[in-house]
Amino acid sequence: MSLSIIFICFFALLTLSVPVSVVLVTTTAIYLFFVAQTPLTSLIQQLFNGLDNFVLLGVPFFILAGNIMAEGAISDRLVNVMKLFVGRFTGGLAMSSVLACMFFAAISGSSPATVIAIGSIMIPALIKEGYGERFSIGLLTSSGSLGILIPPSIPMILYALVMNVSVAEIFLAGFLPGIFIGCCLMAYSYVRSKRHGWHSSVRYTFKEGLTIIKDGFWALLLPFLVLGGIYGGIFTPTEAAAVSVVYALFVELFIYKELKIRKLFVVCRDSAILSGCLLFILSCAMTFIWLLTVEQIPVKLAEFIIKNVDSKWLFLLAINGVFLIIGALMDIVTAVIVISPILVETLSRYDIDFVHFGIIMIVNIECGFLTPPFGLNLFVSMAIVRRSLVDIGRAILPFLLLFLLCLLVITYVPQLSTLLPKLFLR
Amino acid sequence: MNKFIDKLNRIEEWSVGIILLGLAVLTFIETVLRYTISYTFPWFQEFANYFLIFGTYLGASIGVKYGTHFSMEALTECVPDRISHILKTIAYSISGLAVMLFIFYGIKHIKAVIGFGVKSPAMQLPMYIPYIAIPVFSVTMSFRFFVLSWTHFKKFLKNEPYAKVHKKVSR
Repeated sequence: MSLSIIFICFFALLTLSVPVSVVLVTTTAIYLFFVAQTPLTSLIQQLFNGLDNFVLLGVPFFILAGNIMAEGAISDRLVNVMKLFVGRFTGGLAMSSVLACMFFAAISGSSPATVIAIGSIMIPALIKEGYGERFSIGLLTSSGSLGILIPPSIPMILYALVMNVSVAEIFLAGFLPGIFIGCCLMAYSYVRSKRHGWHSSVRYTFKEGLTIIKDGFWALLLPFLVLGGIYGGIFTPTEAAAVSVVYALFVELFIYKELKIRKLFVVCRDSAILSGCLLFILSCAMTFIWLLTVEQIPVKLAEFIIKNVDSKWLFLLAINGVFLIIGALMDIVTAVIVISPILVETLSRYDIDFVHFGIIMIVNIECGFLTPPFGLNLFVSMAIVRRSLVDIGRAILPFLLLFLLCLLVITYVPQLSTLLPKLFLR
Repeated sequence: MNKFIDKLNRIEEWSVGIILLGLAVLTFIETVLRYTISYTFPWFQEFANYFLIFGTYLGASIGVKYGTHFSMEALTECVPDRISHILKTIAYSISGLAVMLFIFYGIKHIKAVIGFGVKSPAMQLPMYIPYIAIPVFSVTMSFRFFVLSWTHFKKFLKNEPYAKVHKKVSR
């Protein structure tokens, strides 16, 4: 009875296109008021407690740092360095785009910021160099999503919070899968370029190379500073986020000098609004999760799943399928935040590592960002190249398939995710 | 009157950006001080958390205007335009009403907290102060939801094509 009330409310409001945050909190409120008959002031308490956590500060900071760098010159310098390294090979420009995305991913925690930063430079450059238009759009839209798999990563912070795992651990777990997907993308670029004869004309003299390295030095230093700081035990992930904001500001304002103060204000405002909405969803989601836990839904669900699904491998496959569908319908980050805590009990009964599951979820989010019609990255690319959603959707398809293959590998080879944390942190 | 509202909006947007940047710089300074001279502000984490909550509700309220709140648009995208407008009118009214709950119960909760006389552990700040952000920004948030609802209703009456009505987001 009570369960059906929760689900009817939830899905009715969701299909009406009520904002997801409001859906979550309204469902909780209706349940508390009519079924549990508890005073709703406890709801306010939960909303407050959900946000009262120092770890969460990392979210707005990483959003801000990513946006500052996407707006400024750091991304430009990174692209130049990567061109220097792999630009001379067949398909070199495409491969250097992927590398630049991977590197930018290691300083920013957001996928749309990565697409904006690298995509707005590289998509036009690739097309100008004679690469296929669809290929160029698809490549950058999809490699941009590495932004959330290679640490730092905003969704990972949220996941770590709702699942009670350490942020540092899940950050480290994202490394190998991120590099793996990056290599797959580069291999795919190489094969396509070879077949279509997209040869490279990028050549640098030694002196030019030196200037590029010198120019890109400040951009190249950042990931070592941020990640080195976290794993060297110097600061926490939240503090690392603040360090990268200040570092990005310093480099953009005083070294590259291309960011205008006026623009900086707009970037700050937009980042604050975006993170306000994200954290608002989180605080609403926390009330909903709290409700589900009080109702013992995780345990009931675990019993149901264990009875009906034979092996954990089948379960993981099913979960991936479910998230693929959800990703095509709604905001996937919220879905992961709400659904993962419900599965806690199931995961521990199947003996699935929470960190490994987290990485699976992150790759699912990446796929969700790329699935038409509501994938976030698609909209970002739409704005960059001014094409219709249908065009972008068509361009992304082969890359989406590639991502799904990688998702399967990451799901069924847990060592890829757990190796580094086990070696260094456990 | 419009000028006054414009000014209010600008103050709001300025402050939310400055809070974020300020918090980042402060956290950086705190980190540097701790690492170099091992000096920590005992109140810092609490202070930052409360400002985070303040900024979140402020940002979420402004976000309504810019349409940064995610919703599932599967149904509204595939039904005829007039029905989309009606759906949106209802959805935003519900949102407005739901957020009004935050105002009502937020005030109730604050009154209760004042009654208990609780103070925050590190700063010794009366505990009701950080809670104030929730009802205050819920007022503006629910107002903005109702404005959106009203705009869609007008478009429904005039039979205009369906498009999202909020301001353009720059990102």
